[in-house]
Amino acid sequence: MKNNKFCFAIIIMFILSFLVSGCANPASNRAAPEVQNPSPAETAGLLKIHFIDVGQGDAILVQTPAGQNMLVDAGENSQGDVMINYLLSQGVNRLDIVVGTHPHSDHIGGLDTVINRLPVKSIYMPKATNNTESFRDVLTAVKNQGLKISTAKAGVDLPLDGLNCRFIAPVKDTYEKLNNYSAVIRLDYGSQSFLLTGDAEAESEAQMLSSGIALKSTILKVGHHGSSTSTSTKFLKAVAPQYAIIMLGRDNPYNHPHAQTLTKLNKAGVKIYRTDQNGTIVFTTDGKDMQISQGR
Amino acid sequence: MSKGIIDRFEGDYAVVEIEGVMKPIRRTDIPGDAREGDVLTCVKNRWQVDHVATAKLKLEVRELAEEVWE
Repeated sequence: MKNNKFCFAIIIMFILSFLVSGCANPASNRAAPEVQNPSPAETAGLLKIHFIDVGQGDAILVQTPAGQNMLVDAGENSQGDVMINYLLSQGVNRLDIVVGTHPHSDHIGGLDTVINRLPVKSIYMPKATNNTESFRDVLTAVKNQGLKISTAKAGVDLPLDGLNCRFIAPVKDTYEKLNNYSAVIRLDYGSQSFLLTGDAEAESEAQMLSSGIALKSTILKVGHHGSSTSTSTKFLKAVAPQYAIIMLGRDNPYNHPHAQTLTKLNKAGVKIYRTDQNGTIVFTTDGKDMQISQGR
Repeated sequence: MSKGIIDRFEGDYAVVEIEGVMKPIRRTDIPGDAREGDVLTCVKNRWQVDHVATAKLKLEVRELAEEVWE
């Protein structure tokens, strides 16, 4: 009993050590979590979507039946090498499409490393900027590689052969919060469909709903790491997913995923996968059946 | 002297980029009107928004963005 209390105190001290109060002494950085790679598999005729464990952040690799590769986000700054290692382990040595969903470091942080290290054909981002070095590094990498960024917004098609893939958000041109600029991707292959929502919050969800676009999807990448700012009741009802993926780090200081989001998903009977608990999660489908594998 | 740039807000925290690393800082420890992208400077162990530095940086980023956007 005494020991338990002691452990608890140590854990609390450990968590508190990540928080900065005042500004004289920045605390040390967290170590990058290790990604456990699933073994490479045949991709001919199959669509594979990898929800890569990059700790607190998003990184999603889409491998199409026609052999094209799309990367959606690349985790924090510290995850650049983790991303490169994962991509290479999956036989990905070039990217047809790179999407930076919105200019927050837990989504675009590792993108500069990816852009600098692998050949990229096209890159899409919503028309929004941030002032961080993390974001500026991405623009600099784009510039140095002689690339041009195409604007991600509702109605823009993503050129992937053999499946339907397009942006369904952002619906509007300006938002107060950068999360709502999130490029939301809807991908259809046979009877399976994926909705990749970035950090889109309730405001953007409401606009997707009123835009009249079909939202019903087999798989939902839950918005904003399971925060209560996203997954509004109406939106979840319209998407009506079978599976939900929440991408987040263990012991994150923001209490993601929020209890009310988990309650909503559980009430709706959705099977939940979490990168903090399941590691990297890979969905493989021929357009009919779905196979799910996880890293740990 | 510490300097930081606000990347985003998460619940009760601002996530601030300090020397290239993201740190969660309690919202109550930074000015209430601070926004995403604001430059913060540490003056007498208190965070303040440096409006001049923020405007300058914003302009720089916009110019770079215009260069690399299609």
